[in-house]
Amino acid sequence: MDKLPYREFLAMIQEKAREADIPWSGSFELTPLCNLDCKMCYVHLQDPSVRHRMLSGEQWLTLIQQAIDEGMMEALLTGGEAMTHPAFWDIYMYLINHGIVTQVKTNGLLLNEEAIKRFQQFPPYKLDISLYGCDSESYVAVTGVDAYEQVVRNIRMAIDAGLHIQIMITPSSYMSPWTERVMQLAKSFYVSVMVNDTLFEPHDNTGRKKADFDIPLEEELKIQEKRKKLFSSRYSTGDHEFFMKRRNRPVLSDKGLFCDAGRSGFAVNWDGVMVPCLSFPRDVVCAYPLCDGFRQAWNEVNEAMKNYEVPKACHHCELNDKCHYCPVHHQKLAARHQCDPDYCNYLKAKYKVFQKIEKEN
Amino acid sequence: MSELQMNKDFVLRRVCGLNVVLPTGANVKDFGGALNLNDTGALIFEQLQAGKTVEETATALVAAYDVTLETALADVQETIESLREAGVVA
Ligand code: SF4
Ligand code: SF4
Repeated sequence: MDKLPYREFLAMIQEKAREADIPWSGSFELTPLCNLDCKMCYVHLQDPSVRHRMLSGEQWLTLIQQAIDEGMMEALLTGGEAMTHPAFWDIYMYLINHGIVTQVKTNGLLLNEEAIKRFQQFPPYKLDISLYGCDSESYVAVTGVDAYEQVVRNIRMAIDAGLHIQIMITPSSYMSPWTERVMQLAKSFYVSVMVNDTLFEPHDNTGRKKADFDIPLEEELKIQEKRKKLFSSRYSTGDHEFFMKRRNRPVLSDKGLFCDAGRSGFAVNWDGVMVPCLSFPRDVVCAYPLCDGFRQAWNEVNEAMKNYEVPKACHHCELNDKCHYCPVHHQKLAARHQCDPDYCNYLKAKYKVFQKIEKEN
Repeated sequence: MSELQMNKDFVLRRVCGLNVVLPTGANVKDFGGALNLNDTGALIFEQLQAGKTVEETATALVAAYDVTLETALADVQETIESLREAGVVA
C-alpha cells in the first residue's frame, strides 16, 4: 500500500489514462463573465444575454458526476472569473467531497477572508491567482479596474493561510511598461510563479483581437530572460517540467497530437459545449454533453483527437522535434489540418534567438 | 481487537486498472495525497467502509479469491494495520 503525494499520483495516472482513453482531467469554464475587464482576455463576454445561457449549478453538478463516473480524477475550475458563478461553492465542494484533485483559477478579487477560511478548511490542490499589475495605475491599464490593493491583500492572506498558491502573469502590450515590476512583485510573495509566454486569439464574440495586445518578439524574449533570472529555471513552475518529462512519447506522430487534449483531458465551455481543451477551435471538434450525455460527448471528442492528422508541413519542419502542433495557435486553419505560416515563422524566429542566447551563455 | 472506526471521508476509485483511495471533505487538508491499493486491499477497504466486521470481510475475501479463512483473516488484519498507519482507520 503506497501513499503518494498528489503530484506523483497525478503523474502516475496521466499516461495510463491516455492509453485507456479515460477523461481523467477536466476543465470547467464556469462562466464567461468577470468582475475585471482585462483587455487581452480571450473569454470574457459582456453581452447580458449570457447570464441566461450559462449553466446552472445543478447542470454543472450533473456533468461533473457523469465525468466522475467515466474516470475523472482531476478538475480545474476557471472562467471568466469562476468565483463569480453563483454556484461556485456548491460546485467546488462537490468536487472536494468526491475526492477530485481540484485546482481553481481566479483573479483573486473574491478571495476575501471568508473564502480563504473555506479554502483553508477544504484546500484546493492549487489556487492559481492572476497578477495583472504592480500598482493601481497598471491594474487599471490592464484590467480596467483599480483592484491592486485588494488583490495583493488577498494574495497575502491566502499565502498566510497556508494555501498552495501559484501566481500567474500574462504579459501583453497593456502590461508592457510594468511587466518587470509585476514579476518583481510576484517574486516577493515567495510562491511559485508562472509567466505565460503564450497569448491566445480571443474568441470571435469577445470583440477583441490578439494583434491589439500582442508583444513584439524582442520584448517577449527580454521578459523570458528576466523570468529565468528571477525564477531561476526555464519554467517558473516545477510541475510543468515534471509532467513533461513523464511523457514518454514522440513529439510528432501521423495521427494524434502530442498533448493530452481530448486524449485524457477535456474541457467544458461556459455554454456546456465540450472541447478537447479550453480554447480549442470548435470547427475541428466539439460535442454536446448536456444533450447527448457525457460519455457520448467524450467518445466523440476522443475519437476525433486520436485520429487528428497533424499538418504535412510539420513532418518536414526543422522544428518538429521541439514544437508540437497546437490547433489553438492555428485556429483558423486547424480544421483543414494546416499550419498558420505567420505563427510558424514566429516560432522559428523565437527558436533561433533562443539558440543564439544559449550559445552565448 | 478493538472496534474498527473507519474514517468515512475517503473514497475508493477504480480507474485505469488502479485502486486509489482519495481523501474527501475535511480530510483533503491533512491527507494531501492518494493511497494506491492492490485488488485485495481494495476489496477489504470496500467491505470495511460498508460497515462489515473483520470476519465478514475475511469471508468476502474467501468468496472472491481462492484462499483459506485463516489466510484471509491475516490479510484483513494486515490491511487494517496499514490503513491505520495511513490514518484511514482510527
Ligand atoms: S513550427 Fe509550424 S510547421 Fe513547424 S512543427 Fe511547429 S507547427 Fe509544425
Ligand atoms: S491543443 Fe494546444 S492549447 Fe490545447 S492542450 Fe494541446 S497544446 Fe495545449
